[in-house]
Order: sequence, then C-alpha cells, then structure tokens
Amino acid sequence: MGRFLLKRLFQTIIILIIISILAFSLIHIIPGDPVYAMLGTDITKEYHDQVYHSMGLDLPLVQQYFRWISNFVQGKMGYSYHFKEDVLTLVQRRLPPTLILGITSAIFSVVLGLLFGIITAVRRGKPIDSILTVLANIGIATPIFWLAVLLVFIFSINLKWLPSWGFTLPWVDFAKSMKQLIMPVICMSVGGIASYTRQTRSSMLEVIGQDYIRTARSKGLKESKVIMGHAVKNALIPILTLIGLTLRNSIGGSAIIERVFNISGMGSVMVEALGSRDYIALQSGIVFLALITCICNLLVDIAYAYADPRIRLD
Amino acid sequence: MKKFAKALSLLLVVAMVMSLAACGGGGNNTPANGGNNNNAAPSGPVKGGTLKLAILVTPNQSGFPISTGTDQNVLATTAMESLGRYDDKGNIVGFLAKEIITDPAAPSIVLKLQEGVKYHDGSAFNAKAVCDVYDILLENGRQANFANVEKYEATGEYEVTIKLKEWRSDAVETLCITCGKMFSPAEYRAHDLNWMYTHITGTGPFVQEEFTIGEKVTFKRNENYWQKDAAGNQLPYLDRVEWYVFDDQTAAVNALKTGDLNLIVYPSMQNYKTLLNAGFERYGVDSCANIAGILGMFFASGKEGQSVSNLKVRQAICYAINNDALKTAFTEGLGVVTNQLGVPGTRENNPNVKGYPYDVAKAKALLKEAGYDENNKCEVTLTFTSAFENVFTAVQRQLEEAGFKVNIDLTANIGDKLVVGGADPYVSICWWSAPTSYSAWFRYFSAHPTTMVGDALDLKAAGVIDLYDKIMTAPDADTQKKLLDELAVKCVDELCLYCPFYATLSYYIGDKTVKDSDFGMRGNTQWTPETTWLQK
Repeated sequence: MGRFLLKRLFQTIIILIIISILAFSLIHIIPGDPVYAMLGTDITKEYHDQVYHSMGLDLPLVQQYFRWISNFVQGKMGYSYHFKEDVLTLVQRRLPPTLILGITSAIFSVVLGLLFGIITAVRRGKPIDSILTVLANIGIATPIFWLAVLLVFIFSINLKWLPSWGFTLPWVDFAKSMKQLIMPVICMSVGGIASYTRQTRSSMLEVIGQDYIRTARSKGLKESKVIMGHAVKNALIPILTLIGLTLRNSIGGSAIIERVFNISGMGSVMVEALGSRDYIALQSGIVFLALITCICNLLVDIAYAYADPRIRLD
Repeated sequence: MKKFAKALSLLLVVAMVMSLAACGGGGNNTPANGGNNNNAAPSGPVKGGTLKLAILVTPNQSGFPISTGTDQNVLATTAMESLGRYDDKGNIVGFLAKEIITDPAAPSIVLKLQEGVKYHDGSAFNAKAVCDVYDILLENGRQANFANVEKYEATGEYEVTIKLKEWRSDAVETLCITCGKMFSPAEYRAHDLNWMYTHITGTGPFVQEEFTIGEKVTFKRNENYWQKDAAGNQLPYLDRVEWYVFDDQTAAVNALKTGDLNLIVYPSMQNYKTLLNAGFERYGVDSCANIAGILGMFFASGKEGQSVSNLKVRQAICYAINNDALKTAFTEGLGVVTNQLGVPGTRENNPNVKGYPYDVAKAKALLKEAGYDENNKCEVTLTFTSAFENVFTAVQRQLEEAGFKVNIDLTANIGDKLVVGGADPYVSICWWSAPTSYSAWFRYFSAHPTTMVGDALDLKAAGVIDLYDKIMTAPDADTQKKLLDELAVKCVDELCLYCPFYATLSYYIGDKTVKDSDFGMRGNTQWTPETTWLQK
C-alpha cells in the first residue's frame, strides 16, 4: 500500500507541474496588457512601463514562471492586482462558498443517486424503475443554468419563498444560509443524482446477475442482506471513480451556478481574473483547483485500492 | 402500465408548463410603490432607510477614480465629491469649489472652496488638500491631464489659483471633474495607491464601511456631513447605501423583481426594456447629459497605399452600413442613430452634415471608382471585442453585401491593442465607444491623438488638429459652435474619418421608491447621494 501511495503521489506532482506550465503559458498567450486593463489607457507610456516593471512583467517568461512557482510552493500565491489582495487571502475568502456548495451537492448526488440506483436495479421493470429512469434521463439532459432560472422564477419571484441570490456562511447565519443554499444545491445535484442513478443501476444489475449473489440467495439469506451485504459493496467499486469526478466537477465547475445566484466563490474569481488579465490570480487559482482535483483523485485511488485489492497488487 | 403512462404524461406536461412559464418573463411582479422617479413626492423627504443598488462591473479602484469606468465613478460618488458638478443642462457648476472663477485672458482658474469641510479621516479639506490631490495625480501618471497647466498654488486657505499655459475650454472639466475628485491626500500619504483603490475616503455624505472586490461596497451615513437641506435639516437622508456586484445581469434583474434591490445601474437595453414593461421606473432623462457613448467604427492603420487610406473606400464602408437596422436590432430601438460624433440633440451636432445614408448601390459604385471589383475585392479587417460580436457580425454581413472581403479580428482589449499599436498592420476598422462631448475628443484630434483616428490620415496636414485647437481656445460660445459645425463637416463629409452607428444612453432602472437621486440627470457618472431618500 505504501508503494502504491508513493507512486500515486509522484504522479500527482508530475501532473501539477505540467498543469502549472500549461496554465502559465496559455494565460500569457491571451492578448491584452494587464497594466492598461488595470489603470486604463489614459496613463503615460512612462508610467505604464514603470508599473509593468514593478509587476515583473518585463522579465523573461521562464524567469517569471520560476519566480511564481517557487513562491507558490512556499505558500506565497502572489498579489492579485485586480482583487487588490494576496491570492492566498482571496482563496481563503472565496473558497468556502465553493467548497460548501460543491461538497453539499456532491453528498446529495451520491446519497440520492445511490439510493435511486439501488431501487431501480432491485425493482427492475417495475413502474418505480421506469419513473426513476425517465427522471434520471431528464436530469442528465437538463441544462443547469436553465434549471436555475426556472427555480428562481418559481420560488423567488413568484412564490417568494427563497432568496434569488447571495451566500451566507452557515456559521454566520444558519437559517439564511440554508435558504440561500437550497436552489444552488438542487441545480448542482440534479445532474449528479441522475448520473449516479444510472451508473448504480447498471452496476447493480451486473452484480445481481453474478453467481455469488445466486449462491447467497440459495443459502437462504434475507434479500436485504444479499443486496446490502453483497451486491451493493461490489457494485460500488466503479461508482468510486464517479465520486472523484463529482467532487472535481462540483468544485471546479461551479462558475455557472455562482453567476446565476450571484455567489462570490472561486468560479467567479477565475472568470473575473481572466477578464481583467490578472495573471497571478488566474494561474494560481488554476493550479490550486488542480491541486484539489488531484487530492480528490488520490483519495479515490486510495479508496479504490482499499475496496479492490487487485488494484494494489497491480 | 396504463396508469404509469398517464402519470408520466402528466409529469411531462407539468415540466413543459413550468418551462413555458419561466420563458414568459416578469409576470405580475410589479415594483413596490408608485410615484415619480426623481421628483420629490408631496410628502417630502423621509429620513432613514438603506438604498440597495446593483453594479454590473466589479469596482476595484473606486477610491482613486481617475480613468476608471463610469460605473466605478458612480459608486465612488457615494462617498467622494468633486470640485465641480454638472447641472441638469450639462454645465459645470461649483460644488466643493463653491465658486469656479475663469479668466480666459489671464489665462487662469480660481477655485474658491467650501469652508469647514472635513474628509472622512478627519483631515481638513482646504486649498492645500486640493494641491496635494493634483500632486498625487501627477505622481501617478496623469500628466496628460495637466499638460496645459503652468502651475497651481494655494493662494489662501480656501483658494486655489491655477495658471494655464493657454485658455482651453475643457480646462474646468479636466481640473474640476476628471481630476477634481477630492480623495484624502493624508490617507494616500499614510498608505499607498493600492490601499486607496479600495478605501474611498472623500468628503461625501456617506462613509465607506466595507469594500470587498467582486462582492459589495457598503456605506453608512456621514454624521458630520457639511450640507444641510433648504429647511435646515442635516443631510444625507439615508442611513446606508449598499452596492452589490452582480456578474450576471439576470441575477440582478431577479433581485430587483424580488425586492432585494432598489435600482440597477446600466442594465443592458434588453433588460432595461423588459423591466420597463414589467412596471419598473426609468431614472434619468434622454438627453445629451446622459449619453453613454457612440458605437461605431474608426479607420485605423490606413497608411498610404492601403485600402482605408482611400477616401472612396471609407465612404463606401459608411454607405454600406444600415445604422437604423443596427439600432433596431441591438438597442431594442432605444439608441439614437447619428452620422457624426455630436449626437442629435447635443450642442456638438451639426444638422447640416450630409453623412452617408445607407445606400448599397452607392457603396458598390464608390468601390468600383476606387479600383475594386468582384475579382479584386477590397479587403478590410474588423477589430472588436466579444461584447460587440453580434453587432459586428451584422456589420460584416452588410459590408460583404456591398462587395467587401471582411476579416474578423476578435480582441480581448481593444484600447490596449490600439494604444500599443497592435491593430492589424494593413487595414483595420475598430469599434470605439466614442465620447459625444467635444471636450472629450482630445484623444482623437489633439496634437497627440492616443487612438486610431490619427492613423487614417495625417490630421495635422488635413487641418483637423488646427480646427480642434481653435474650438478649444475659442473666445466665446458662438465662435466655438461655428467651429464645431465646421469640424463635423470636415471629419464626416470631407474626410470620412469615422463611421458612427448609434448612440446609447446610460440607463438606471429601479422600483420607484428612490427619490431625488438625480441618477441619469447630471451626466452619466454623477448623482446626488446626499438628497436621495426612499419612499416608504
């Protein structure tokens, strides 16, 4: 297990280095001058050059990269000239909404998706299977921005039950936070619930057809024990991969939901940084999100290896 | 199974009805309250309340609002005041400088300042503070704004005398509005520019409480504000002003509909019209004071031997564009078509300019005269940002219909591209949100144009710069108007320097409760937070 972990850690570091190089170089390819973007075009050329120099933008790109990455590794993510604060402080402020949204929706996706998947597999061919399967297909096909607009229209504008925008941390005002979370979490969970339902269903159906399940039944075990003790445990292995993907998507892909519900999270930081040519915030943000993704993948790999010893041995 | 099919059908019908309902628009979400927007209700101002506004761009340097966008300036006005203010006719009147005395013969400007005014940090607003603010602007690259200033000095505790190199009619606007926003020099010296960006320390009716970039900027009442109303009551009326940043306009529109906001600053014309139809109120007036800018094209990099250096090609381009169609399609019909930089209704407009009314046949004929035909197509490049992609897709189609071969150059930052000379090297037509007031045209027609107009031809040789200088130094308004008319004819009919499409207005839309705010009444960056009140 130790060797397996070391191997995965080494791979993660290589991936992060590649991502940092890609992020850095691709961002610098984008046309636009960060100094003019920051100060407007009415400044003198001399002042522009002075600021350009003070930001280290006149250094060779390779030198800029190494300066940035060595600082990043030491925990100094640099200063964002668009957000006028240290990127680390910015991340500390803007990551919690994204994490809370992402993790909550991931939990909903996994729990409900697994539940519906198991039900549809166990009740295969029954009306409940058909209904949930149709709903899962609708869920997968539903664009989340459309769903968000629909929910806002019904629950905020017409019924006035839920706030249409904003985010409050649960430890600041729990009731307000819950109210504000309901619609974004629903939007972010629908796709996940649908995917889990379908994946769990097919995985369960495959497992239920196996000889060892038949053996368990022929031994006279209760159906609930057969399903929960034997079928679900084995059907979960392919689902683990999906869990890693869900976490990654929830955290990295929350930009749309953050915009629709005006939530100040990491997604909106990245979009704004891109628009304002805030190189430091953008590249540090990308690498930071890549780091989270890698950690999620690593955890999934570990869980996978734990659940299926063959992977460790491979 | 039949029951299941019925249930499924019902489910699908419900989903479809919900979708259709969502597409249906605002429904019956009428704004709270009634009454006229900017006119005081008969009951008079009510004290207290929190004004909540949506800003659709991220303010990140409102504490030093020089060369920032209009949105940031509007926000900064909550706490920061300027030496002069526009009145509702677009004239500059004294504000923090209670008197602005101009002497074109000297030439000089004397500012008589309000006495007893204090900054939010407790430091005194006086002549020294004004000179310090000017010094700080010069330290931060704003030399262009002071190019015509020989010296400025405190000639009394509350008097500043500015000696000019020559009299220019934009001097008051430059020194009292553009560079006249009085931030606290003491705060600047105690911190630095980065700190100033997010700390709006002025003399205004509200004191900044929180400035979180990308989220919100909040203000509370300045208990020591220097102004009282006509009845002798202490201003301001409101307790708080809160600005919320919305990246997505739809979210702001929803927040207005749910009553979480009072007003949206500069919504898109589409959202503006939707909200207007839903019963919300327009703040401001359709006048020159409220024009945001003109969307149009300038001819760039038209050096000798290249296609747009040929007058006939430039004219053909202008004839090929259907401004009315563009206005109808992209401004919900709310824009104002113009054939010159002076929009109809403004002092700068010359109604005798012929311009180039839409005429494809004429465009084709001019192209032929210029030596282009089907086998030798005239090639032009359209440079623009993604924000105007729709408009320029239509422009591309119109130009192609007239026989041009059109290349597209989608850029991220047009200003940057043009200022640093990054536009297409052989021929390029770029959009520019042009100012409509002659005093802001210096960037196009001064001896040192910073943008692309000067690329189309030698402006000095063509006499444009001389003419513009005469306008800026005109001894009286009548002479100036004659020269402005001459400039319009020269730039449009004689030289065809640009191809404006339409002017757009600055819009503010809200729930009818906001009174006496003067939003959209005093240019597009100023309002009067001190007199604003909320009708309960």
